[in-house]
Amino acid sequence: MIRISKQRPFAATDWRIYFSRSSYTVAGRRLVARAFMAFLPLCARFGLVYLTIGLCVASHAHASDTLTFDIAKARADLALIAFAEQADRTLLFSFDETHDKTANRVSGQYEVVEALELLLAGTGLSISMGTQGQLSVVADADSNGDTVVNKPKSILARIGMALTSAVVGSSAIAQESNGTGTQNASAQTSRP
Amino acid sequence: VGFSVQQRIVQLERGELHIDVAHDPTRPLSVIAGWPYCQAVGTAFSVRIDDSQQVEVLVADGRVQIGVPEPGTADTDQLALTREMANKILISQAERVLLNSGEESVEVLEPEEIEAQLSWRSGNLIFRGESLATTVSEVGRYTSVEFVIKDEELRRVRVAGLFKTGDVAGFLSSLEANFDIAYERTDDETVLLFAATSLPTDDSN
Repeated sequence: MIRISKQRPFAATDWRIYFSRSSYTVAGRRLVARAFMAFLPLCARFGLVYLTIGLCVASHAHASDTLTFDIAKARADLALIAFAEQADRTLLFSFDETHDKTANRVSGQYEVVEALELLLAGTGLSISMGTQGQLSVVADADSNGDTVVNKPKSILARIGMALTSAVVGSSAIAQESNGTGTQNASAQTSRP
Repeated sequence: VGFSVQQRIVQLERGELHIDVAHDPTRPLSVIAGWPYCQAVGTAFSVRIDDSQQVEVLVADGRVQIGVPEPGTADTDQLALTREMANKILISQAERVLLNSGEESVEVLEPEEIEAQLSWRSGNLIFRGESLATTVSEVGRYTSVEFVIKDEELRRVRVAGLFKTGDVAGFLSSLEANFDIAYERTDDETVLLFAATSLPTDDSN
């Protein structure tokens, strides 16, 4: 079912309409699958890299968003809570591995991972970002005070993941025109 | 909720509420929660009842008077209930008291702790060293999912961080990434949590 607010007329900026479990979901996925298959030879000819980089960026948008951070130098657990609050994301970590360390001050506009790197630089805490963008903060067993940052392994891994998600159709774009303007509807799979 | 010209009464049956009271000495605001009740005196405070009927009162600003109705006071007589009381406790800003716990001790909280305790108002739950058992219990209150910890040792692991209410996927991925905790959904409403190292291995054959 398409959910459109009836509080005000539909505006041209309302390009996102979330819906799930509808015929539009299936239609949208088919549309994307067909578009992708049709577009693939062109990609191969004119540069697959540009497409895949774009898909990678989209799939990790939440991790590469540039946000404004203002976190005071503080105990690492408290600083990480402030980070999670400002990054607007769930982040749980070990209290025992963090409360006896001091994090750095971070102020300014940074990507999420970049801010985390700066925050924990030199604390001996290891940062990783999983394939789904989840952040991991753990103490290094053989820490020498340097912070280890592990990002997703390679661009090839990202490309593979992005292509997989595109083919599976975890998100799809559908369009419908109602005569007053064009609405793009983004279909999202329901929560597991 | 019962507001009259003489008083304002809010009855809390379960869950948690936070009130910023508009001070009016001629019309005091009282919260009845379980058998005690709180009467606010120009204040901001929260009251919470947990599953075991323990009542927690936390004062963010001002003072709160907590009392117990005199024996024999009918539950339905709310006006008398809020006037006739025994065992009065007065708690002030940054103080917290747990009632029905056997010993009503007043605890003074740091500003950061108060902020963490009241973070649910902005859609976040903040943890600052609580056990995993407490953490999953709290998180469970804000989701439709019940989390069951299968390993006894895991229950005592101390957790810090922030949970965005409703973000079950983020919660599980954070446990997986930072605590090496695996999970298994048994149905739509139950998730089992266990140490990833205790996972049964299928590659033995």
